[in-house]
Amino acid sequence: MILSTKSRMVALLAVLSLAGFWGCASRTVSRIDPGTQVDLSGDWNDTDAKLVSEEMINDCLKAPWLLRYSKKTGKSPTVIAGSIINKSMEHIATDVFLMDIERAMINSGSVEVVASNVERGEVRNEKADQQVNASPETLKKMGMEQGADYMLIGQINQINDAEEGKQLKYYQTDLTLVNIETNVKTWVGQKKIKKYIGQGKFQP
Amino acid sequence: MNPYRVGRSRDYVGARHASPLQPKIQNSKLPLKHLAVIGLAFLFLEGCATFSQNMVPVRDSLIAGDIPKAVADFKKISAGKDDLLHMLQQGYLSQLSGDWLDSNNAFDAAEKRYEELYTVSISNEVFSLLTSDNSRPYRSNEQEMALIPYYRIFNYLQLGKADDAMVEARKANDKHKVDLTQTEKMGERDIRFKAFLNYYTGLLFASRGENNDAIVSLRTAFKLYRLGNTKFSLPVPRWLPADYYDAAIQVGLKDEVRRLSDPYPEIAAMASKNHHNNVILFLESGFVPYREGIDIFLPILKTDDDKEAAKTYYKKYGGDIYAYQARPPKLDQFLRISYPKLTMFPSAVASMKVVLPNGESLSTERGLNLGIETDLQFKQDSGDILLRTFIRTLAKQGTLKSAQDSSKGLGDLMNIFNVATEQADTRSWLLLPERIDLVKASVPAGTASLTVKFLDADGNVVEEKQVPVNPQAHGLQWITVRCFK
Repeated sequence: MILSTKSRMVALLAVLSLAGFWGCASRTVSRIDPGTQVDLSGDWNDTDAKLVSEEMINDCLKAPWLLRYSKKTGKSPTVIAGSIINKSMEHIATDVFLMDIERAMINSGSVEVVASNVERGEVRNEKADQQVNASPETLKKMGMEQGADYMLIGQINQINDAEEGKQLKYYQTDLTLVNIETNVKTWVGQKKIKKYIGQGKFQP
Repeated sequence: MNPYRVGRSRDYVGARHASPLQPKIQNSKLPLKHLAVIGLAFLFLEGCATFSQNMVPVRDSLIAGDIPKAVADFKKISAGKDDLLHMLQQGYLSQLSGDWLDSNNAFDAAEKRYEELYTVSISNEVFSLLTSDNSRPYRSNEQEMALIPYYRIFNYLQLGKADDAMVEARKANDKHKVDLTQTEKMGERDIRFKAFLNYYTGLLFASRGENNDAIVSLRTAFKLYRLGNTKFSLPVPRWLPADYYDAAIQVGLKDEVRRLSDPYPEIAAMASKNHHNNVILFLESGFVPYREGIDIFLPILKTDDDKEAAKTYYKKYGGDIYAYQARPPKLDQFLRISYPKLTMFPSAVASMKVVLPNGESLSTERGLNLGIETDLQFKQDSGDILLRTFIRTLAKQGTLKSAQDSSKGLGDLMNIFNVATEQADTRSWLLLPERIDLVKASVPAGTASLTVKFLDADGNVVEEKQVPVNPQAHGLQWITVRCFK
């Protein structure tokens, strides 16, 4: 059957109209390697957290403060994780890379890490409960906690620039290890991440 | 429904408050088969309630003060291509229900979806030119999206996450940047909204001791309110100069402090008094103006405009033009053109008062007039809407002519399709308040609740609410109260 030009046009428009109804694609879910870099929105994501923790871990554990402390005291320093203030424009789960740093410190064997402010509240509740309910042989004493030598604190700052579908994001993470007794800053780590996000105005 | 109607379409969402215009074309004698075109078109339309129409029961439940029913009504509405609009309404309803977390999740999803929709789908655009703007996904607008931080900041404060509230504040200020050297170029809507936003974020920063951020926001708010006051009588909030003065002192900007105190000698005393303000109330009332569809139905008659036809008619009727006009007209097609117009949603509330435990009554101040904001946004969008309506009409005429040339049946079908699909885009965030008023108060420690009175133009109480408070000696407690009447 040979269609006239006008009939073809009508048929084409009908097909286009139907295409409009088929706009919704079905959702697919697949497992991927946690190390895979996937950027969707351009916001802070797991890759950024990983980049920060890797940089900080390398820098912190190789810095001279660790050796100096060990030489001076003959033991490993004890660190407590403080807070990382999010001064950025995005909601960032700072615990993600803080936990990475804690894990690396503990696994390195050269630093001891004590429970954080929030964690020790729960531990103390348990210890208080033991004073009443635990048997004398298994009872853990109050007031025997190990005091930290250093506190890890920090902040994340962000600068954005945007223009018509183009966006530049700059994140700077600063971590500082502070001697709790003297307030001396023993180590300062810094990681900068810069991203360019382009978004096209049209798609088929 | 009269097919020759010029008036509000079925998207009319404020039926309780106005009467539609219904001028009629008289003496049209059209064949029944052509009337069937219109009949079929409307039968086709019957099953296609728009998102705005579906939201009417939700809004009515809110007016009746039944938030759980409004939520239940809302759950019956499927999002479809209007998912962004669905998220905005969901976020707002969750906040009204006190589910701060769900509200923030919905607003977060809305912001992400808004960014995705920056990329325009060409197939959707083509499809919308053959049907109506309603077939495009709802993209929202600057004015609606700008209100997300206002609600999210409040949600985070209720969740006890002040740091996250400040993230939202920084995000909002970054998204709605103000160049203080270019304020003369700013439009009215921009000045009104950014003045309010900066005051809101400035208060948050100041209450959290973030003085560097606070001074920037409060300075911007002060300058924009003053500019708005000069240009269109935008009132400057009573405590803003004092807040700004205080922030300048905290940061140590002596020149700025002097520039403020020279024209306002009483500002130091005001700032001192302002330190005792420990509660800020944002009182929301009414509903924003809504978009309703205007339909124009035009029967297009066949014209015999070629010379041969004219000669034939002249031979047959001579100079008796009346004899020619008396002939029954032949219908070529029905043309339906739909476009939205903005309609105010009347509110009974004219003013508000907050009564303290000692009987002192505080009047509120205008924070943000969303009625005006919506009107200005609509005017901004109108050019685009009219252009799209014009192009769509041309495109539909093109498809109709092609179909008519192919066969008469196909032409009739295309006419039915064109009339049925032509609908004004009336989608908007209907649940927003018409205005947000604010008042700062010094509430004695131990006070359990405050009385908020929403008053009509004669000072009669429209609604009275007891609002629980927990005032602290330091810091600012943030409260929002909504009146739907």
